[in-house]
Amino acid sequence: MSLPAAWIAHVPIARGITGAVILLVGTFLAVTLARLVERWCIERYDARRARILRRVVHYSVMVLVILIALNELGVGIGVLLGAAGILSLGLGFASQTALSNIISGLFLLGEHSFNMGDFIQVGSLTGEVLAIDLLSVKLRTYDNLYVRVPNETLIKGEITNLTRLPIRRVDLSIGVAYDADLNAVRDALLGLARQSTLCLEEPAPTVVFSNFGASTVNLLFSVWIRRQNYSLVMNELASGVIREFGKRGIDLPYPQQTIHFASTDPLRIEKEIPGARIHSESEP
Amino acid sequence: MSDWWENPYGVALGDALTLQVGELDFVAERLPSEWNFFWNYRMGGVTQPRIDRKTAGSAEWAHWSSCRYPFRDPPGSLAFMPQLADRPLVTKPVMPLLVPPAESLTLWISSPLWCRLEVRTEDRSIPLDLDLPVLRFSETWFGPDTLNGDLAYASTTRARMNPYLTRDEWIDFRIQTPVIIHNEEAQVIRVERLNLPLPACGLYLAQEGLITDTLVWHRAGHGQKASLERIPPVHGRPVAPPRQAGNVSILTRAFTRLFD
Repeated sequence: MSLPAAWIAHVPIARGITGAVILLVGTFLAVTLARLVERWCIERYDARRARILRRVVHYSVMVLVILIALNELGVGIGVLLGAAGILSLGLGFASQTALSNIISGLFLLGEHSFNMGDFIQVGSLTGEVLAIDLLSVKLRTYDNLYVRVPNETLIKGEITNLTRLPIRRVDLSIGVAYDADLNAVRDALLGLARQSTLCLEEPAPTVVFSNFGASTVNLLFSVWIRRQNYSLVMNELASGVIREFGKRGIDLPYPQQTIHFASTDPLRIEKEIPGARIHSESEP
Repeated sequence: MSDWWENPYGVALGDALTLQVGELDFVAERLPSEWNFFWNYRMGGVTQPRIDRKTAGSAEWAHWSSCRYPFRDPPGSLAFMPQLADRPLVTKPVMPLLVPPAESLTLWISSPLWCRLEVRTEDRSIPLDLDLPVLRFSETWFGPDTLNGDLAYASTTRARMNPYLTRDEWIDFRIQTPVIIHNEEAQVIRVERLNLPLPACGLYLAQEGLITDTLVWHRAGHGQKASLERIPPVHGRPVAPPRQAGNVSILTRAFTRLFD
């Protein structure tokens, strides 16, 4: 007779039934208690903490219930705990990454850097937070891809929460020709921000000299907006700048190169046209 | 006082009611199983409201912003219910205002009206969630820094000392807020920006026209904290309750910072 079969043969039917009842009632209790705790937590804190706390309560009660049921079936808890200790030591070595993720998850929970529904940027990924679990955070990217990011990655790296604050700054780098009147450019840009109902009046929009570029004088045009209006404002400003500069005769130059010749000798220019050959010579 | 708001306008099936008020162009079409609404904002606007009737389905408003409300039997009339703005209004006096010590004054600050639509049958009113301002607002941030503060609408004010607007000042769609300032300090108070917590105020019809609760700002001397009170007008018929009457935190934030 095999070992489990021998053990089952020694378990009285009454104890077996009791063990099964404990398991059933315990499961019901675990689910109910976890839901109650979740509801209590949602009222006081937030959905993210409630979800994690629900799982912790559920699994803890279930472990307890299984131990009691096994004890009822005649399996010694002491032996089980000893075995569990050895097992957890082995598992600990084998599941360092998982444990690291769990601990990172707890740190993230405490830090409160983002919530479900927020848009975050992690490395090259940007997306909406769908779930914050013990091991990972699930994101939905703008192109509707479902991405699982391990908590360890989040705790080690840089997270940008795009939706935490209600307002943000939008910067537009603009290069104008070297002969442009910078005051006129500044007036045109600030006027554009004033006309737009999407740009906030305070903090005030600014136009700041950035640098002397190869072909242009570069300016940084910054406006403050409600974060939800980011795309709208970018499009509105881009078309507005082109329209307004066109109206005022301000050039947005293409890259250009000024070449100085050391020699004062006449420069020979030759242009080749298929079927004909034209020679010209510049004036000295 | 114009009575273009609140009174219902009957609209026949297949007809459209057009309203021009401030910068808002609005059209309501009554069709056999729905009400269709169209709106658009124009630069400049009109100083007096114009109401007209046209045939539904015109291409004139086909490209405007729009929405539909289906009904089994569309109610026969429509009313424009006045409302205050849905966010606080931060207004800058055209000229900086300096309140000398031991002075009290009343400023009248106006803000544009919002219209909430309501369709009506003979025995009941059905409020719709379409709520439009008659003038477009710029937005601004009101707070000590970009982390702490609130989004608000922005405007400028002449900070008048009397409540009466002229017809040129768009009297038919402006709401006035009386702000009483008591300066009991030994220093001059410089009023550069005023934050009016309009969503926390009630709207009333009084002799002066549409007015809100009076905001009384009291700055006691000897370094005591300033206080802000909201007092309903004595002789005023309530027109609309505060939008955010129950939101204590918004009220507290708004009321503790009348000035920047």
